[in-house]
Amino acid sequence: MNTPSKLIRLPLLLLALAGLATSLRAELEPEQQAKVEAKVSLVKAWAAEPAIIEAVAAHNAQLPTGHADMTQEKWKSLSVLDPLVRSFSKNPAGDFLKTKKIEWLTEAFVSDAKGLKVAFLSKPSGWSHAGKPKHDVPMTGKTWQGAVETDESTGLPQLQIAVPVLKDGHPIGSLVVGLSLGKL
Amino acid sequence: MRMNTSTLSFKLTTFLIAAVAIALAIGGGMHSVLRKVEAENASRTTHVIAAKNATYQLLETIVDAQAALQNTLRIKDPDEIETSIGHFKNTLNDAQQLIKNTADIPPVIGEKLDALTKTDQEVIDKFLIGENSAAFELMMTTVPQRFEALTQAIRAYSTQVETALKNDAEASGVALQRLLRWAAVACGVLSILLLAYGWRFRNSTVNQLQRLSDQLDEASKQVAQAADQVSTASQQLASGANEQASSLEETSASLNEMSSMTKRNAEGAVRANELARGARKSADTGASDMKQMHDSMGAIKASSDDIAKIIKTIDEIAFQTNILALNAAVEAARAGTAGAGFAVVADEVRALAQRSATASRETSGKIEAAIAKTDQGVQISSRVTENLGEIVETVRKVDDLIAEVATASGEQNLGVDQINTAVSQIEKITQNNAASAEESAAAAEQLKAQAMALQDAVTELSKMVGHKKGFSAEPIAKDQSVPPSPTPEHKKTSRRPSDSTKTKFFAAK
Repeated sequence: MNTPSKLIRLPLLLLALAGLATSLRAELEPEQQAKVEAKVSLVKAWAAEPAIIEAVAAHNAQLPTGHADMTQEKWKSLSVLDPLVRSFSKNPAGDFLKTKKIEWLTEAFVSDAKGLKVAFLSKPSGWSHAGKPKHDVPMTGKTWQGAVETDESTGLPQLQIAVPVLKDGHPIGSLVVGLSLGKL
Repeated sequence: MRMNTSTLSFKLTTFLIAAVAIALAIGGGMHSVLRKVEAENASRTTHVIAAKNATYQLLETIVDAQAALQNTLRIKDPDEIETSIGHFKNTLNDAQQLIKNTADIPPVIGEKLDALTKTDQEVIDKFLIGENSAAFELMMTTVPQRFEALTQAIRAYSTQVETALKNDAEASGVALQRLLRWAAVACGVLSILLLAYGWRFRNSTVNQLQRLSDQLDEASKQVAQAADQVSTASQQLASGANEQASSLEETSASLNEMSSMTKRNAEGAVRANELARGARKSADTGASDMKQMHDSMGAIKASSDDIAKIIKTIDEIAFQTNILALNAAVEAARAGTAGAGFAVVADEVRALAQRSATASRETSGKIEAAIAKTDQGVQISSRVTENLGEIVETVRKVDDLIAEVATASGEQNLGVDQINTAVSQIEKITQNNAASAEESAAAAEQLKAQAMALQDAVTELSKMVGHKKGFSAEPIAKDQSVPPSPTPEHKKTSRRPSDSTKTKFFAAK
């Protein structure tokens, strides 16, 4: 009768051990880095899709209802199943991101010029990423690559990359994507 | 003996019925008890299985729910999260429904499940607002405690069910053992009683069978002897029938010959009848002719009378001619020579008249003689006519007699044919009798063989029942039973042993 409790405890323990293991690896191996850069090129192509560009441009032009008065506290209190949160996954940009779901893709979200969320696959922790490198760097037209960290949900090592969403050669937003290093 | 046989049958039937009744009673009782025990065991087993199944299903459902919860915490896609949470809630509902539907589950399990459900809901709430760390913290601390408490309650319930089952099974086993002891004692007592009755029955049956085998032995011998005698008599009967058949064949042949002769007689009678009829006709014709002759002779007599009258007339004429011639001569004499020639003529006429008178006299004599002969002929013809009439009458009688003879010959012929047919039938029947007699002889031989087989069986029966006194199982010699001669006297006497055998045999029964 001890088996059920063990069944529950064992994955959690594995998650913790995996997080501890990945935190010790700060630098990527060259081979791993090459794979990441290949994905960067792929994600840039996603960011150049009209569905993404048009959604970001429209969000920059006018915020949808409920987005203007959204604060970080309010965003944090919203359930992932809240209709407002679900709407980010059901707009054209969200639908496009869903078509790109693949095993190594842990997360993806699109921000407008101010770092406010336009679309995502899963609810990110922050409503605005303005002031953070994962948004500020792409807004300069460059690509950003974050450090390796542990995914809280899966306990697996991942890193984030961010690319600019360009319109007419000018950055109008950013696309941040989480990569599962073990599945690249 | 019939009373003894009935008693034997009654005893055997009683023994069998008693044995079967006792076996049925014991078997039925045991079956009833075993069915009852089996039903109780089945009920207990069903109850335990239901309880165990309920615990296993409950545990499985709860583990599934917790696994669904853990899986939910690892999902990021909101669609998948929604689906996973729905599965988790459905699984928990199944667990709650299972507890509600299982009457024996103690309330503490429901309470523990409610506590776990409440904690799980807290985990979900924290997860959904992004407080994953807090959710994981709950999953690692409180949820396992609640889960352990719930599983302990379920284990306690399972153990309680097992203990109750064990206690019930032990109690049932004790009751069953006690029952089996009583059943064994009852079976032992009944077996002893049956054995005693069977032994007594066996002794009486063996004695009766020994007596019966003795009587059967005697009866089989007598039957064999009777069969032998019947066989001999049948063979003699067949032989006699064959001889009779051959005699009948000869008789039939003679009858055939007689029949043909009778036919020829009948045909001869018919022909004689026809001839008699012709003779009668000829006699009638002769009588008629005779009458005509009689009439003709009467006419001849009448003619003769007329001729006599004429001749008398001629005689008178001759007389007168003679007188005249005499007178002429006288006259011629008187006339001298002139009359001499006349006298010569007168003499010649007188001579002629005299010759005529003589001739007429002779003719008259002849005619009288003829008339006398004619009268005589008439008389004779009358007598001939009478005789012919008598002949005709006699011929008619002969004709009638011949006709009767012909009719009688035809009837005789039919009678002979009927006799011939009857003889043929008698011949067939005789042949059948001969064949039946031969079959009877063969059947008697078979009967004798069966009687010998019966005697062998009696010997076997006697050995089987342990007949210790001298038993005459000698084979029946054929010459012992064959009678010395097939005379009717012997046949009469040879039937008596058979009758006496039957009488004895059935009287013995």
